[in-house]
Amino acid sequence: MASLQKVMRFGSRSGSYLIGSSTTTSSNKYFTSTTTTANNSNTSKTSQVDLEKERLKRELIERIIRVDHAGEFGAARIYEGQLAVLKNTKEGPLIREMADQELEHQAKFNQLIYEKRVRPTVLSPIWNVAGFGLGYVSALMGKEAAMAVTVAVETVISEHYNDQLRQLNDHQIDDKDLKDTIKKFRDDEMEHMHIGIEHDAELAPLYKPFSELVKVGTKAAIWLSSRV
Amino acid sequence: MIPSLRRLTTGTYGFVSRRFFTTATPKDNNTTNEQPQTHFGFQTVNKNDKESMVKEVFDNVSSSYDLMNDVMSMGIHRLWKDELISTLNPTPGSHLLDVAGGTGDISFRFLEKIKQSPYYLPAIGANPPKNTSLPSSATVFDINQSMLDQGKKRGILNGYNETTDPSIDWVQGNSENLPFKDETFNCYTVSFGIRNCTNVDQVLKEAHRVLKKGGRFLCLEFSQIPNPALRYMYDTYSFNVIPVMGQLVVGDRDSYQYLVESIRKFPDQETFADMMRDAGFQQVTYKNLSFGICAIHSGWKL
Amino acid sequence: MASLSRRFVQKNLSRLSLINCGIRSNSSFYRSSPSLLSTTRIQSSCSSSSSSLFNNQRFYCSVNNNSNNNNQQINESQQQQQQEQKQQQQQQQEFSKDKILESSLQFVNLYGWTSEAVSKGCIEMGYPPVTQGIIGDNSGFELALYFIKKCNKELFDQLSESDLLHGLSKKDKVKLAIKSRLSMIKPYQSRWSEAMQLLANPKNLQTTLPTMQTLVDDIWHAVGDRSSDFDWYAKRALLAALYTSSELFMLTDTSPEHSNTMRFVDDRVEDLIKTIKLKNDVESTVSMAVGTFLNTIHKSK
Repeated sequence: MASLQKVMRFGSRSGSYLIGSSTTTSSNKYFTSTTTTANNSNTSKTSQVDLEKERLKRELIERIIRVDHAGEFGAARIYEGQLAVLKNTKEGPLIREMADQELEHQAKFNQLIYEKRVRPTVLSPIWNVAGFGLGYVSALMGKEAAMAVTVAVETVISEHYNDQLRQLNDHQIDDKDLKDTIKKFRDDEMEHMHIGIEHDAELAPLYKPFSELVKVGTKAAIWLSSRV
Repeated sequence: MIPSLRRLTTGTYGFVSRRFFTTATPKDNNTTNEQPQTHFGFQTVNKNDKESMVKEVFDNVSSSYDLMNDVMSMGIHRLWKDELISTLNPTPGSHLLDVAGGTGDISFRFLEKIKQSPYYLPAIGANPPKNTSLPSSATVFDINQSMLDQGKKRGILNGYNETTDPSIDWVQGNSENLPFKDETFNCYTVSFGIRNCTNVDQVLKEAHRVLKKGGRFLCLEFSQIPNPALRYMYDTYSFNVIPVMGQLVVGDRDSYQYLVESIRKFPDQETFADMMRDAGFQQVTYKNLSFGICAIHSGWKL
Repeated sequence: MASLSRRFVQKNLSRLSLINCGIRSNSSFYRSSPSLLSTTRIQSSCSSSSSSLFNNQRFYCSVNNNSNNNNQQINESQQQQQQEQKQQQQQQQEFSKDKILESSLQFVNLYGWTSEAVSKGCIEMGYPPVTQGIIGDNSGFELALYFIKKCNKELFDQLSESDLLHGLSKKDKVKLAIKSRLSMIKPYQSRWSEAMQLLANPKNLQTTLPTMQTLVDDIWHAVGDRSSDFDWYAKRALLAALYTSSELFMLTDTSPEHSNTMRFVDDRVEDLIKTIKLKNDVESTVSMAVGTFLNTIHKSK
């Protein structure tokens, strides 16, 4: 531990070097592993292993925030697309409420992106258009189809949030704010999924294949957004 | 010495060849040989004898060493040595110990590189200017006096003698027991010599001893080729062409057979890097030259 | 007595190493006699030539062993002292590439961004000039890279910890950030074009680009930009282009206090902000138009 501290002391100038916490972590971008102890190469090895672990933790947090932000953004656009068609129908206010919740989620992730200096996904323009298009087309097919899309997307997203919580625990990342946020949003998404099922999502034409298709698309989008 | 006629008939192509004199144990004896053994090419010999056997090899090849280097490697050995010196990147103030330096290839390149720098300003004359470069030197160290004599001749031709430029020193001795004090040199290079040493660990320890803190150890040596196809081609060339060339050009097949076999016996890149770490060098790295025919290992004393 | 002389040598370690750099006569390199190889511990009261540095207690000198005290008690206390010294030395002499590069910066104006400058820096820190190779194969480039990383870190510290940006508009914050970053190059302006060539070399570009990325990211973050979609990328790319062009402009600027460069920066930042505003306006117009269109279609249903 003493050697790790020494690495940190030589590795940063202002002393504001913090490991995987919620405040700024840009000081570690400047100087990487510049110290080697005089005699014992073993201590430098363990400090390098620690640095590597920290780097992996940071990368995991970045990926999680990036993909969640993209997901909320996409979900908000899907609801907007559905609303463009179904605004004046019976389900209009319900979808409006769900859309507002997604906007709240999106705002929270915007804030996290700013706080943790995370790079957002490049593909946002694509998700912008694709989400709106998906919502619009599914709403044109009928309100059941719109609900089916909601159910499919929310199922995938809830599972995805559960996976993320598991990953955070596996890597021993203690970021309480992030974990609480993900838990709360996961519960909200499951609620949306139940609302969708209640409102006759399963009565949509070709429900099974259609919903599988949407699930596959959402999973592909999640995979892409976490990386790019 | 084995008469020249016998030389043509001894030695099979490839892998086993007669040596000048053998101290291998007779096979029908049940007594075990108590002396520690080591490899000499593909043969096993006593450790105590290896030094003199190697000395004899190099006594034989010294007069045509440079010529044979050119013939065997088709001139590429110059590029390898240039690469070694550009890796070292010497600046004025460096003191080099060139072990197994033989005819001084590395040392001459070392000093030329220092002189080529645009900021090099030697302190010559009665009133040298203020910001002259720090003095540098190269010490060529070899176990074989005949190789050193060849090198001295070359040095005098290039202007390195006592009066005009005393930067090169020619010392004879054994690299396992360097006659220098601790922490005398900035750089230590050994090029194509460490595989001939009996106790490589001892050589590395001595290198660590004579280097100053912050000094660099560089080793240019033949190594193992990772790619199997290229390795096959290289083996074919080494075992079939080089000894024959030795016979044709200088009339000494056995020495070149030894040289080729000793390359195969030397540890590979990673193993040698571990040996360097065990001797105390840090930040040990290596790079392969010519697809792995040679490797430059670099380590620091910190 | 022994410990005093040991401490004297440790204090003057760097000075002694500098003396060692000079040419010495051949005799001073050598050990006197190989029989001292299997040696007992010799006290440091032996007055050897100044050219031997003894980090370990075994060294070879021409004085005979009469001053050798082999008392067991003294040996044990010596060992303890040696261990303490080793620990102290380890802490003091921890090797740091950053320190070497920092001390090399003062030689840049004389020797340029080259391995010569780094080797002079090594000498300054008490290491032999050959230690410049530990920085990397291309130590001049590493020196330039270290310098821009250092400048970026300084800028980040200035922007985040001081009140520099307090009470300014976004535009003025960006201008101030760019100007303060440009002014950090001033000490090396005569050699900066060399550094730019090294950094922009295609071989090295892969290592240089992340530093530019951190620079623009830091500036936008300090300014308070909260964009989180494609704007994030557009703003950073534009600011990177702006900064690079200002740096190039500064190379040939001979006006007093680089006032021309500052004016250039002002103008470019104004252009940048206008571009962003224009893009935002266009985006909102388009989305409003699409929304109205869809409304009219679906109202009829």
